[in-house]
Amino acid sequence: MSETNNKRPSRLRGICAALAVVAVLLLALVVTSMIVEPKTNDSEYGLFDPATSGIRAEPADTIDVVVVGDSIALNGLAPLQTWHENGFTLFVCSTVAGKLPDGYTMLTRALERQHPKLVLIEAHPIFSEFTWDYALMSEAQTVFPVLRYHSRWRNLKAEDFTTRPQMTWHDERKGIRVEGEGVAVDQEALDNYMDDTGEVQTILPQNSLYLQRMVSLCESVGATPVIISVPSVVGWSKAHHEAMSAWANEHNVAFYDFNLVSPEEIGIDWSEDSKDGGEHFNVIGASKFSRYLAKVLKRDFDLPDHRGDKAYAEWEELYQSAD
Amino acid sequence: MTSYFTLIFLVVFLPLVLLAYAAVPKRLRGYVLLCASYFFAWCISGPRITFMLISTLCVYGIARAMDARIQKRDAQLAQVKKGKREIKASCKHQLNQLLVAGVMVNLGILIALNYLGFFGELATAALGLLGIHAHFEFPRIGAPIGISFYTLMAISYLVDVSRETIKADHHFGRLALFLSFFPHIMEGPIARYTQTATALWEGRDLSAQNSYRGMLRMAIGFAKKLLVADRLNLYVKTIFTDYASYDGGLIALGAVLYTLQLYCDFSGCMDVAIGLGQFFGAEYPENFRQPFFSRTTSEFWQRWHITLGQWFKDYVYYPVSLSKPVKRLTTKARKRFGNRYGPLLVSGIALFCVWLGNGLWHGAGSQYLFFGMYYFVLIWLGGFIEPNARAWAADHGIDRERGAYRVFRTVRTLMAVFVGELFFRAEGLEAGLAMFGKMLSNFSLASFADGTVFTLMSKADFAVALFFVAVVFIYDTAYERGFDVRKMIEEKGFVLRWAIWIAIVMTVVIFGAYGFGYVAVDPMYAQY
Repeated sequence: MSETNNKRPSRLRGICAALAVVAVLLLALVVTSMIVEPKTNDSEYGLFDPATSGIRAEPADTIDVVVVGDSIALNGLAPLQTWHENGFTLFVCSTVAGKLPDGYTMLTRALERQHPKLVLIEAHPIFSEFTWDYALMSEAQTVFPVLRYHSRWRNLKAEDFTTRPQMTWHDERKGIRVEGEGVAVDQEALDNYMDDTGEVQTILPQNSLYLQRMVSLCESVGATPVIISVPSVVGWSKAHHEAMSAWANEHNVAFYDFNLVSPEEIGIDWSEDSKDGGEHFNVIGASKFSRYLAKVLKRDFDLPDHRGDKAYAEWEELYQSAD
Repeated sequence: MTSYFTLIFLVVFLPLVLLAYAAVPKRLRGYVLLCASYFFAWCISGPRITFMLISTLCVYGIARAMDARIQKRDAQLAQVKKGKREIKASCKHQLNQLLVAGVMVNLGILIALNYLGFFGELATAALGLLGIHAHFEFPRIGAPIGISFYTLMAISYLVDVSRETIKADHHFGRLALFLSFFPHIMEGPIARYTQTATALWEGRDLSAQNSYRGMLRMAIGFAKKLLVADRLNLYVKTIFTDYASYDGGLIALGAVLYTLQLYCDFSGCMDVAIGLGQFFGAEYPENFRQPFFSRTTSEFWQRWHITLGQWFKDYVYYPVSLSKPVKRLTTKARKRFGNRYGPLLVSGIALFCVWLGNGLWHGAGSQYLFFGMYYFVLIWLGGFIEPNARAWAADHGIDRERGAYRVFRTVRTLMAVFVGELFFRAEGLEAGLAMFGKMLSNFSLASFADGTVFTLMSKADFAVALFFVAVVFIYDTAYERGFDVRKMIEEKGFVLRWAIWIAIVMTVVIFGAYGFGYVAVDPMYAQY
């Protein structure tokens, strides 16, 4: 009996000691995170992928459509043209080879100050494999930026120890990074494009989980999640379409596969509208596709027209200067 | 989950295993570890872990059969007064047959999964030399994680049972856990049955002391790997894949840095494995003992990958040396070449077998064969030179264990090691020879003077790597001089010892070579 009584305080002491160690470790991670975290939302302080964080400097609640995805989305849209022709604002938050955990993080950050009508989830990364460890690390990096930005120790400045991050950088391209000349698509690839082979791609459990999280996140801020698939001869197939359709039906999420729309209807000429032979659009391809996408979105969703509103004057100025 | 060096292992798998281990009754803890071990192996190897299960079943069954035969022999011996020798000989014969069967099955699986392709290439090339055009190509199945390690452990267990130095384990779970326990399955250490099997299956209580020892050891392992090894990979990978673009000076530095990378990677993994074992009260044998302080290549291999060297010594070197034909040959050689050189000459047979096995164990490739033969020649010749060198030093009044001569011996050994590791890491024997040739014929320090060296790895990465290499050197020097740094930390008060642990962890977090700009490097010996 006395032995049991002796063990209890000892066990309690052990638990308290363990908690104290964990608390100090977490505190150390928080403090170092505050120091090494980039202090602006551009590359001046070593921020990776600044294009994904441009939206954080936009005035609150001024973005109507947020797009998350990977390089397909980065190269596939023309936000300023969409603004000029339709009057709604669209911002692309995507990164090259982005996986869904990256997309989820970007979307979380984007929705901190924005309450868009629509969130377009570009479908290519939904089929991009990642491990549970990758997802866990992505979450940990969000909580403790030191895990992502630890290498900044070599570039630390005095103000890193005294200031908090400020979102000072405006992305004049609204998130896109379209570039490149026209490279014709291989004829054989074009002939087989979207052929029905009877196959169905697999959406991995971890991908499905993150997609559900993104959908829930959208719904929590009153945004409508919509999955879209930007035309891509090389990176998309009927097998992808089947899997995506099944998932979207099951989870009651709208899905627009623009790979099923004939190129003529969109106006795409695959001999000159891709920068790399069919995977990504170039500037002309992005312009044509954006025009078509905007028409569909205007038709199916109640999107505002801010043209003439002084609060949005910058968008028109940027369009005119970019033109 | 691909290794210990993943977040999911550290913050999900390990805590869950510890929780489950602590929550279940003592008699079930072994099963928790066994399930965790097979789950860990499954995460890395998938269905291929079936081969591990087959090996375990085979070893278990054959050891039980040996045990039954030994018991039968003892019963027979107790009943007779004459003919005991025949009974023993018959038993010995059958034990040997069983042992050969067990070894064949285990080695057969290892060879089928790891070496058939290589042997097919060799056979094709050999027949080609004879003018016979044949092509041997075998399907690549892929091996489960740790096959080279648990196969050696399985063989050592069978040999020990047949030698009657241990009794066959009648508990399948305990034997399975001994072979598959997740800390050692990736890279060893190659433990013996008596070292870990019982302790692991006992289900000892988790204790604060063991937990701290384990966590400190793991933190040190992570530091070696992430601060030094994975950072040096920036330089090493480029130099070894594109050696033709660089001069001999940069290649020589590549050989040195690769040796340091391999040491910090492999010994770091051993720290993690041994630390994980300590959580559960199992003491794994050490695999490294300050190898860079060695005076000879022979001594180097007594300090580097110790458990592998010890395994080859116990299960290849001694059996070959003590076999009847070799003993007969030794007697003849003594008469012909004298007592000094006769046995040395014949010892080459056992040594050759050891280094052929050692080279091939590391992988199916001509560079590994060369690596084995390189050390065979160095160590065998060293045996002839050593007595003469000792006599020469005595004649000249030189103390070989102190001062400049001691430094000379260490530096000479290091040179030999660096060259060996160059061939070991090279992408094929041809590349190794080309790199070695460039080191000799195109050696220049110009790339260091004009800054080309920093195009391979930044100054900041060099600075961090060198700083932490210096820390490892000081740490090893302390051990070499009998000062146990870890024990000293473990004996400090609660606040100080945990402050040290947190400091190590935060150093790894901040200065570790992971994330953007670095490539995650899987534990290097996990491929063998």
